[in-house]
Amino acid sequence: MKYLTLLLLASVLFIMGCEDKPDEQPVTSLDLTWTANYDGETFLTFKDYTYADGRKIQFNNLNFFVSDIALISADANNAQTELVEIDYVDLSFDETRTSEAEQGKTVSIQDLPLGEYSGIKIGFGVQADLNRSKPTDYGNGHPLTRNFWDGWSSYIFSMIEGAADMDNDGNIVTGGADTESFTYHSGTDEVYNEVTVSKAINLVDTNAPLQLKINVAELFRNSNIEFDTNGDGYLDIENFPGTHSASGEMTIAKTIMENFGRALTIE
Amino acid sequence: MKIFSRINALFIGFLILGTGWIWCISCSGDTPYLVLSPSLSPTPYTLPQPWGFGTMEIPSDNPMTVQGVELGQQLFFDPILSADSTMSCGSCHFPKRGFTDNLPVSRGIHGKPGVRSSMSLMNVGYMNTGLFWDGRVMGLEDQALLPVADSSELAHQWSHVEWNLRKHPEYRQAFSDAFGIRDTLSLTRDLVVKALAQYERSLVSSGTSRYDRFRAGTLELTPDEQIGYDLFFDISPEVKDAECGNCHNAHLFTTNEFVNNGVQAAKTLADFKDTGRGAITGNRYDNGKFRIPTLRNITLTAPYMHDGRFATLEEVIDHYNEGGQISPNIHSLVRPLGLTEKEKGQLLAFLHTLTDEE
Repeated sequence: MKYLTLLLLASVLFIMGCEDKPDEQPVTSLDLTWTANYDGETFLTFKDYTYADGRKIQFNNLNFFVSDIALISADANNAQTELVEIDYVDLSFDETRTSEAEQGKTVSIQDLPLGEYSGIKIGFGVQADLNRSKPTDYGNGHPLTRNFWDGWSSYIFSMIEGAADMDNDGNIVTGGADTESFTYHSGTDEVYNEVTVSKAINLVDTNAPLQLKINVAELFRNSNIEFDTNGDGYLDIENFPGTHSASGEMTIAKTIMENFGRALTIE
Repeated sequence: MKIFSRINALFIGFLILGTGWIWCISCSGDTPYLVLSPSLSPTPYTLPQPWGFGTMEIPSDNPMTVQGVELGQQLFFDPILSADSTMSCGSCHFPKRGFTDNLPVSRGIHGKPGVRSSMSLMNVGYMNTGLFWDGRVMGLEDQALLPVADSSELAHQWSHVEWNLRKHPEYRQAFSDAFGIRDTLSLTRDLVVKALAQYERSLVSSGTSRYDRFRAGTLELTPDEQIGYDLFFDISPEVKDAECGNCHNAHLFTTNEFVNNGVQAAKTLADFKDTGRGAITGNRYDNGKFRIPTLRNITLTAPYMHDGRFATLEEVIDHYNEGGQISPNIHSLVRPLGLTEKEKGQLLAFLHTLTDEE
């Protein structure tokens, strides 16, 4: 009886071992790395750069949300493979963290199907469904536990904060009655910006990181003569130092979010 | 005869060893070992969750129980935790003062002044970016270890605290009931801070403030409070933006971040009198930054800022309306606001709506 049981067990194991495994699609991983630069120079907070009008400018905060990042297949149906549903990208590194600024923020995506892709889609901001949620809906560590603006009932899609030599005297004043700070916060569904960048991406067994580079200088592009009083194609920071008011400065907020697409290069 | 001598020698040997053991125990300060027996199983504690607060994250190794919270409360207000038995945690965190002490800088035993103002403990269980003004510790359990041993606070030695609690029949039983310990030597500082942390996590807003009832739709704000609300959160394009809600975001009225809000003038990053967060991170760009405090019950917690420099909320509003003091890393939103006296009054009226009424 004992031998019979062993024989049966061995037979079952043998049969199971012979069953065909389901076809497994070969997969790979891909790193997306966000970095920021100012016209090609590594972007650091509290460092002086030169604005389009020649004045000194410095930043103390640069962060933004990205949604629904997807690869677009190179075949005829242009199917999308989602990489990231939502992420928070904070590129505010001071000079003591230069190596972190150079390395940027990386998100690793696993189990991607091998294949050829023709481009990548990126939503700058928080896509509408997620923008209905609030930080208290999430646990610690989730990207959406921060930067919510109750007054707008929206996440702040991007924060660009700093100061510039508004009075053109060679110095930047931060704080007090003569402060020269600026604060550009953009939010609400209206300013969400989805960008598709054409780029041949061939995912094989091993892949180099996809470098997503933001040129901060380009975020200030503005061709609206109401806000580009100098006529140089860039936002007049001196006269429009903020976008914090939900309605009055929405045009600037919208333009900044659109500029993320222009400021982006992918390598 | 020989056998008899050997028994004698053994007896004398044990006597010497036993005497030595008793002598060692008395010298080391350990309490004699006593067996304890929990009188009941700990009852899970149901944490109140006001509307919009989300879920508090509780450490898995310190679940809240009714017995743990009650024990923590008893310890919190018991001067047994201080070196001269004159002060407790509650000496600097009075419930009726929004769990602060209304002093610019807290004082420890013998009146020794501390360095900073005591922070409100309301909703402290939701503070997940670091505690104290500079965020030097992450969890409430670790936080509770420090004031007991700080020479400018309770100035005690933890080994003495443990000794005193082990000797205390009621505490022995309470610890056994709360944590299931079965002997006195298991009553350690680790359990003391766990009990204190449980009590502190139970300090959650009641949801009865005028603001809470307004958001719940059961109360209308007065016209001045409503405009103050609009100013605070930049709700309406018809009113100015007082830039408050960026750092004091609903519903905790803090983002728990560390910022330089312009209370200290500093020509360079090395010039801050109190470097705050920078002393913890070692990054000079964090100098002058402090944790954004909650504004809930703010009318009860004067004076204001980390050093209690502002006696009234009117002074605080003036500070922000004037754009703060010049310093290299001041938050960009601290800039002149242009609020009129009437608007400042309306903002103040709104701040009064944040006081719990129970």
